[in-house]
Amino acid sequence: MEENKVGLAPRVMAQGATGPKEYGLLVTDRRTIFVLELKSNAAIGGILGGAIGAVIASATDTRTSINYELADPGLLATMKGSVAIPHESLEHMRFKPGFGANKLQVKYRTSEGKTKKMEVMLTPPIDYVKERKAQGKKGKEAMADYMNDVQNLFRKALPLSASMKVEWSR
Amino acid sequence: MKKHAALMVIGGIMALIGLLVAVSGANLSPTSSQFEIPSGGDYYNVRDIYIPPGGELKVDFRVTSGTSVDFYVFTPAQYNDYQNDGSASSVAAASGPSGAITFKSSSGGTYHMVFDHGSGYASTVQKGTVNERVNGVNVPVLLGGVVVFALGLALTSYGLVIKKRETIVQPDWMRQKQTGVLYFKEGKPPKT
Repeated sequence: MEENKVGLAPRVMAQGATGPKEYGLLVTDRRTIFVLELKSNAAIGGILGGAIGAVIASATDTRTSINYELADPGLLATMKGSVAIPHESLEHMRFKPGFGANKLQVKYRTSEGKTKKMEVMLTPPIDYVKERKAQGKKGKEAMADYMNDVQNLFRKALPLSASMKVEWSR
Repeated sequence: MKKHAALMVIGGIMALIGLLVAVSGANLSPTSSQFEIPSGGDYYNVRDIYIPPGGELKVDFRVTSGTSVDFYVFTPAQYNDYQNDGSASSVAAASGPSGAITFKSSSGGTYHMVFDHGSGYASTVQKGTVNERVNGVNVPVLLGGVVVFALGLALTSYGLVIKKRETIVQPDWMRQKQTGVLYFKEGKPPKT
């Protein structure tokens, strides 16, 4: 059965063991796919210390720029670092406003039957924030707008059975 | 050359070679060739052929110039005797302007097929055509071919996967300005 892409939140971030991870959040009519786009090794740079550490860390960062218009969701879901969560596996989703950053918390059941949690920060892309600031909005308002946009994306994509498990932010 | 193209070319060549080797191991195709015996009583035409264990050799020949020839299939020991003292003890033989033999080898191995001047034709150049076919499977060659073929297919498939990835992964400079949540045209409202 064909899987239809509904929408993309271009940037969400999570904290990894070696530094921040940046994902593209693709939502289809069947699942939510966190596509790993940037894996930073900033923590290694911190251990090494100084400018040299920073240079080495940034040199070992791995960035993948995805053409989501062309990309097949099935392939994106199997890419290294990707996390794919079928809508029927969703146990709980929460949009949580925060002081530093708004968060998206997802609790889901894996194919092995285990329950897993994932938490990402809804950090808007720089261009998005610049655009909002040009409209006279503050940074925090831009962050709130972005969370609303992401919420609307899920409202459109999730079936009713999954939508009922979402704790929306007002 | 891009990585996927290189993989697909190498994989394709490997698959083709593997297929040819596997077919030769399965002895699916008969071979046809010419033979020539130079004039002189000491001259004959010899060719080696491998028969797998339990395999069967079928040969038919026809003389096109010089009328009658003697044809033998020798084991290596018999061929040695033939070279030393002209002994014509063989596992299969035929003579005349044309002929055919069928020989089944239970143990398998390399045999020597000899065309020699027929009686009274030692001083003429004799030519002819020969068709040979070995029925039987050369297991090591067949397996080798199958393995190379499978590796070639695997490389080609991997190349296709890489190609697909190269299509969706774009250089960083092509990265579009990210201005917010993007909706796709193909997206349809979810079924409830």
